[in-house]
Amino acid sequence: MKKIALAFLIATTAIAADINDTFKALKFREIGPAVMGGRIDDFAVDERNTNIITWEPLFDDQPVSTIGDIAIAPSDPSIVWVGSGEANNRQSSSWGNGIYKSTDGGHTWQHMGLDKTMHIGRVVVSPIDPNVVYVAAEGNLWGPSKDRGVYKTSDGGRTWTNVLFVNDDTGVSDIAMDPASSGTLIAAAYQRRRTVFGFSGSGPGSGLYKTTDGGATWKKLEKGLPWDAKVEKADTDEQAVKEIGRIGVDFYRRNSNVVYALIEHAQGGVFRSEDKGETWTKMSETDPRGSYYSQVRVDPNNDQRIWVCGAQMYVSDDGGRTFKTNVIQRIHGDYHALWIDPNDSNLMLAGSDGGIHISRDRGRSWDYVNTIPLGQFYEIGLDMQRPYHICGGLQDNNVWCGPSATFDTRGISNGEWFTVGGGDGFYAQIDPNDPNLVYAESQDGNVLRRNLKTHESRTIRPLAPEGERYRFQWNSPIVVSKFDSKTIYYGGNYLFKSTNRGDDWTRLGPDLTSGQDRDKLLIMGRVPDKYTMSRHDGVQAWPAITTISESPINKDLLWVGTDDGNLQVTRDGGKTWKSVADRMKGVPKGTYVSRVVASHTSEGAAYATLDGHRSSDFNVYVFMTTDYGESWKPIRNGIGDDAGTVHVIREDLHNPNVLFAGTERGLYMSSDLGAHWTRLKLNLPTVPIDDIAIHPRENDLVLGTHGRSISIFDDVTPLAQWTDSITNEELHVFDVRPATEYRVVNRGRNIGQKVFFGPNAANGAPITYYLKMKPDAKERVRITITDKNGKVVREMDGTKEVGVNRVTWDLKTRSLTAPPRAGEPGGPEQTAAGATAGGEVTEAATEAASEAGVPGGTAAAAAAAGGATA
Amino acid sequence: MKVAVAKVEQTKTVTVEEDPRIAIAPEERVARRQALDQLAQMATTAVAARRSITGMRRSLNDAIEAWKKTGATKPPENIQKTAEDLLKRTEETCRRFGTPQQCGEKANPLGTAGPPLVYMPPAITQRVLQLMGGIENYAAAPSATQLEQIKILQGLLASASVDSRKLTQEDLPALNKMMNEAGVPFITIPRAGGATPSS
Repeated sequence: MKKIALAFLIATTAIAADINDTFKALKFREIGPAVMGGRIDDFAVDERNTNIITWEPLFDDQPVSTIGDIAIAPSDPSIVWVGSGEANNRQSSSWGNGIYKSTDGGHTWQHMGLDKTMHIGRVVVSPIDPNVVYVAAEGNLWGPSKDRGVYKTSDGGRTWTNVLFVNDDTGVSDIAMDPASSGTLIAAAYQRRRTVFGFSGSGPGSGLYKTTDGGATWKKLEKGLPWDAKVEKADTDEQAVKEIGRIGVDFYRRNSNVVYALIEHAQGGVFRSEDKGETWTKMSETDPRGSYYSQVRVDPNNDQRIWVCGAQMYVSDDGGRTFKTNVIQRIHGDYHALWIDPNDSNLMLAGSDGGIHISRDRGRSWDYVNTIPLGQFYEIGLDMQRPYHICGGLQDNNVWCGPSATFDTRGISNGEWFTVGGGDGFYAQIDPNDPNLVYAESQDGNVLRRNLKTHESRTIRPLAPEGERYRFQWNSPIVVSKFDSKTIYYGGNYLFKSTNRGDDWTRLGPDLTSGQDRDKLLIMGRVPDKYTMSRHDGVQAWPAITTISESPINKDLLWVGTDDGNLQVTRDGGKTWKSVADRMKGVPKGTYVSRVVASHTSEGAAYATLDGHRSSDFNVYVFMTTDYGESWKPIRNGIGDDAGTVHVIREDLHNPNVLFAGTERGLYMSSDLGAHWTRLKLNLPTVPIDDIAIHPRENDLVLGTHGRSISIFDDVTPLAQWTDSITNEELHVFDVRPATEYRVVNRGRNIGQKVFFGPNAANGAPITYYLKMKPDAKERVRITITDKNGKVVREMDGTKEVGVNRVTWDLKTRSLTAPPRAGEPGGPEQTAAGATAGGEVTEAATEAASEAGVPGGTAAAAAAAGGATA
Repeated sequence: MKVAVAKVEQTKTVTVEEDPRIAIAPEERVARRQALDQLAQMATTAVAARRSITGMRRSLNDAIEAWKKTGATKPPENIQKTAEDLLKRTEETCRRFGTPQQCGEKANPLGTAGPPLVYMPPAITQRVLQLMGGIENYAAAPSATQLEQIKILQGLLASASVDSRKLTQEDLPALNKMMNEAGVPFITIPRAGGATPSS
């Protein structure tokens, strides 16, 4: 059995390596934007050098991208630890695969185990011995697990011991080391569970534990804490006392007798200890949304100054008794990370849902780092402008629109992007016939239509009849009909249809979900109730529609999927529906349908992806039907379990055999209707691919990533036309898409490193060809452009790498200005008559153009002589 | 569009569409194209002439400077005088095609701040390329002024080309003949990429 598994692994790797090697010359364009940032979970700072200006990614090619915590070894800053899997407990939280170590400052990484811990809240390294490390592992967010608690290594990560384990439902979200005694640590145990329908953020397993012998023994701290039986309670209800949520803890650096804890509990708040945690005093009730924040920091130079992360930043100057929330202004809230320079408390780094912020005056003013594209897109939509625009909704960051390219040679600046909707942003769709009409959606069905000419908007949320309430998913789908752009569909627990752009709605059929009552469903053995901390945080309603697809062939053929596992199809415009989810073999009942997509070439065909991770099912589910859902064929071969679950599938617009799939950890493609899949990595970082769109005119593959904003593969034609038989050809030239001769200029000048520009597409016609062998050194790849009358208007040399090459013809007819070839005597009498003969792009031609500051003639100009097409 | 490597080639059709922001009448497009074609040929001529004349000047100058060095073999005085006279005339013609620095003038050691002590009008090459850029960078028919400039530059280029041709095809060969008869290494115009006197 082991041999079979190994063989499969090798085969999969070989295919993946092949396509990525063949196409290695082609790259994704990471266009940003970098304007809204993304959720920052932690900072680690080499405190010897706090001159922070530029940032670069260090973890792009690791198997996972989600990070809960980073730690630098105090005694050797070249040693860096990364605990994978964020610990902030969202419905969209990604899960990791353990812990990583770098011994060269983050340039290279080694996986060091703890594979199943999934979410790591904190990593602390002994200041005395860098081989001694403690890891606070929250463990599986979605189900019970023994892989959680505090882990310790004393040999640099070669072996680990689970030194604190509470129970299968309780992990450890935070751990703090006594700065004066590295064997003394306080750990925050956390009992919590998310499900597809809700969240329970508390239980009796949570609490504070202390060790003074390096984790060999632990005791639960009680004195003065909310669960201390001796403490007088305002609410004496026994259940209220048991419901302990998430806890944050921090020692004061200058006097480690002083410890603060931030405790989520009915009687919770900020607590202070002056005896290393043995006894505690409640300072205040401040504790914002514990499941999502629970970070407390003591100023390293002032034990009375306390910072508490929340939607706002809370700061106290009296040891936590009172807090101000108006100190930090004008930056994005929802703080999860805060670092304060121990050498200068004025220097701070704050990480929030909106990225990275630096203050040098203790929070009164902030430098927002808007140079890193960290956008966490959920869904994207494209319009038909030239260049086309992209709209998309982001985690806690509204719905934004911006261009895929600009007329500025510097690229796409943050300033090109603008918001069209608020809240957490999700679906964004643009009227294909009017780019000024945008539909933008926020959580709980808050959909609007915006007129971009005036920026006015109208709320178009479907209203329920009096006495009734509709349910909408956190991320509710909206679709513009391909048959009539005034017709739109929107999904709640019903499918809604409007024929006047959302002004009025009709329901198409019955409630398409199972209609289950989540208030009767158990989480960790209990129905969440008024005592439950962070009850159902981030799950407004359940169950509801998650995905809609209108057949591009038949307007009456509609598909919907729901978050409770229904997959429904109608062939009469919504009058009657048929549930077909149970035809998918091997899928647990009730599994969340992440996407259904109707084929645009075969009416009965559709593709569906399901994502069971919110039910602790991490399997990959991809299916295809050709008979309107009567039967489904699993098509996941090649998408390994390490891909994470699947968010989206798309059919290529020109080759129906080609499919693209976005998973929690990357992009996959198939050239044979899903019989085999290959990961398409190229220069794409490991990142969740939440949405994929293919532009119908440009044929660009556009990715909405959940963490690295937007990436574009310009003109996906070569990938879609790729077949293995091409490898037998000496030369294969792929179809060239129509090119637009944009006039582009540099609209600005040099403005330093603190600016982000997403790259434009190369301006012109991308010419893509495959070479089986590398030509001899003297051999040239000659590209000749002629106009429709056969006149040569341009000649170029192409690159000559084995595999796929891409050269962009800039649409210039520069050969007309080319002087004689290098090495030829250059008398004017010799060249004037034969100016077009040589035709090479020589150094001198470049020189001539450069001197003038302009290129030569252009293709559109050539149209005057030779016609509009070449 | 044709891609060829070794004896294998494939063709594909490329459709080129105008920038949607551009509105230009067909006759304007034709006029613009004609002007650009004219200027492209003029630019080719001018750039090639500059390459030739600057190369000749450099070779002549190098040879004359070499003769001045202590212990160097000096050609007869009449050859030296002819060469120096030819260099002077070459530099004059050179400045019609190239910048002062390309034609032997040393760069201002104090930097480029401030205007030059002696104003030098832009060379023909530079004017042709600038005019071409001016038409290329604006999607409209060339203005009357621009068309007039083309005519002016055509005249200047033709005249300068005659002078350049005389220098390179008549005067330099005549000097070389004298040098050859005197047993002195003759002077060649360097090919693109550089060359110097050869024996």
